[in-house]
Amino acid sequence: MFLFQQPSVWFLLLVLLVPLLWWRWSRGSQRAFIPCSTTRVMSKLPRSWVVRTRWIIPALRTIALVALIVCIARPLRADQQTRVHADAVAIEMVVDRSGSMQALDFVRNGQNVTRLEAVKAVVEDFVLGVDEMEGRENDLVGLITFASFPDSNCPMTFDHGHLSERLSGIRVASEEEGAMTAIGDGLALAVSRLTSLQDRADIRTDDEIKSRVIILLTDGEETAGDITALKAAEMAAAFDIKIYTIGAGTNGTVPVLTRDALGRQTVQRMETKLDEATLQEIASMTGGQYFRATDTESLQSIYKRINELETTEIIERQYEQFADMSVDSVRFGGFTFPPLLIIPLLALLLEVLLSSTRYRRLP
Amino acid sequence: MIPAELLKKIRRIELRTSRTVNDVLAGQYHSAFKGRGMEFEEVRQYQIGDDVRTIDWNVSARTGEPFVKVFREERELTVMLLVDLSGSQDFGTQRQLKRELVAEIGATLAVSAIRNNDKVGLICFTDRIELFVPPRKGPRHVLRVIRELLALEPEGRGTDLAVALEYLNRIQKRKCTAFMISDFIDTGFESAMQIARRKHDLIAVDVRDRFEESIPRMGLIEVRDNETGRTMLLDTGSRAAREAYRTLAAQDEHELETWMNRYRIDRLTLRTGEPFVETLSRFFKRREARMER
Repeated sequence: MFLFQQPSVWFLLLVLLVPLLWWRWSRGSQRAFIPCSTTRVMSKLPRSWVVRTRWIIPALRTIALVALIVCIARPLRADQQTRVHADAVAIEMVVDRSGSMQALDFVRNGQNVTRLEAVKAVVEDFVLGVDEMEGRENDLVGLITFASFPDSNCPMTFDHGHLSERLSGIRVASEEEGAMTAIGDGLALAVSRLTSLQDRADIRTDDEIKSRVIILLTDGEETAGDITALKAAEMAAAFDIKIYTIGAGTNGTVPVLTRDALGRQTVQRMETKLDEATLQEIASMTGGQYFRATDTESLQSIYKRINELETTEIIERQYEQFADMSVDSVRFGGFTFPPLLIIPLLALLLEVLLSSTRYRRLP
Repeated sequence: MIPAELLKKIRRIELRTSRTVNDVLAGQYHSAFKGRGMEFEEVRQYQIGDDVRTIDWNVSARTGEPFVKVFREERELTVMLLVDLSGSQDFGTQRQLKRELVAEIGATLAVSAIRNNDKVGLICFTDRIELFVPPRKGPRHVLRVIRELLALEPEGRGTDLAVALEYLNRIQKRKCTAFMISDFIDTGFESAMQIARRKHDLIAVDVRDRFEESIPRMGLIEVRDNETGRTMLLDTGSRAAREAYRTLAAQDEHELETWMNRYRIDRLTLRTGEPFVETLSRFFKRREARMER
């Protein structure tokens, strides 16, 4: 699409002056001539090709003039660009990696896997997208794990590839690290990460963060930490952060993959206990929801559900990029056109060249 | 009033032509243009040394003293200068306009004639008669002629030789020597010229410029015909055009030459920027030789 820059377009009116200039140029009385005794002989001469093509000089000048006027009027080429723009949701995944996440009560592809493995797979699908879940492409996602101590595995980022890399590196905390469950500390860290987003330079201000969400996944009750889970939930509520809580695993005794003193992997039966009441309260305090996942399918459906709950509105914004055709080369219909200013330049150059060589006129 | 500059110019041209006439052309003019013959002037007493054949016997018998007849060469010659002042004369590429050359030639001829005690008349013409100065004698008259040649501003631009020749035939009943100083850029003057030639001693002085014979290479030029005002664009950058021009000009020249020869009109071609005295002197000698025959 071609258009002219608004106020400059009036310069096009200058084109109307061209016939006036033509008139002036062609006015015989104003021109100089070589007086000559008689043109009787000359008029019998054959007209050479230079004489026949003498219009080329004024033609070139006119072309240059008109093209210059057009350039002054600033022709623009508008390139429409549509960019999908979505308001981002900041999602902090808070994943439990306490000892009990070693429990083998999830089935994936017909095999018993630990809770953590199942969770890792589902979270990855949630972030990157699978089947009808489209992923959280436009959202900031961060990862925090916790056992006895919270750990910021991945800062809030749009780089979800990096996030999934970090995700796959998560191991269940060993006894030495402290394999207890500090839900409150994990939540508090997540809140702190979410609230400090504004200060981060790499978060574009035009991508307004619509809402901030924590997805807490745990399989037990709070056994460690300086801050209680409810206290952290209060903080989250104060900052208007929603917390979705997921309780994973079955209550009661479950087979747990452990290493004995010699490093061998053995399966032991262990008692796990899920503090559903606290999780529910956390959710309700912050306007979130509590889900219970007892197997892989339910876990998947929970993430699907959260995905739906946290849909972001997709706004299409149209951008028009203007190229100034007089100085920028323009692509149109598969051809790249050089800047328009080339035309008057070349025409003038040619005119000067011709009129000072073969088309040189005396007087 | 004559402006001082013009006076100076007249003076200069008069001086120069006087010198030319005295030194170079001395006597040549006289010999070239003889009168109609011998005329009886008077009888006077015989003096020792007189040719006895000239003794008038009748008078001697009546008076008883010897008397001789004295004859005088008839030199009641009238020179008419027919000067073309048309637009085509306001042109010259060789440091001189044709008009200036015309004035110099006219002045030289007038001074020569006056020296020989001939009458000099002037007809200036373009496409009409611009000025007629009746033939008269005397050094004051020659200055008048020179002044007119230099300063006359013609009203017409074109050339009509026939008008000038017919005018000459009308006003000059007696035979005269007529110099037609022109560039002969005209047509249809042939019959008038034939009539004039029968009546008078007509000499065509053709004033030319090099440019009229061949154009130098100077690219495109816009030329304007001084007489008709017609303009045209001429490509002198083309060799073919230059050649064609030269050929056509030579052809025109040849036609004129042939015609003049056929009707036995003396023709003298002078070019701007070239000394004309030499040519004039040669022309006078040639004429003298022919007259003695």
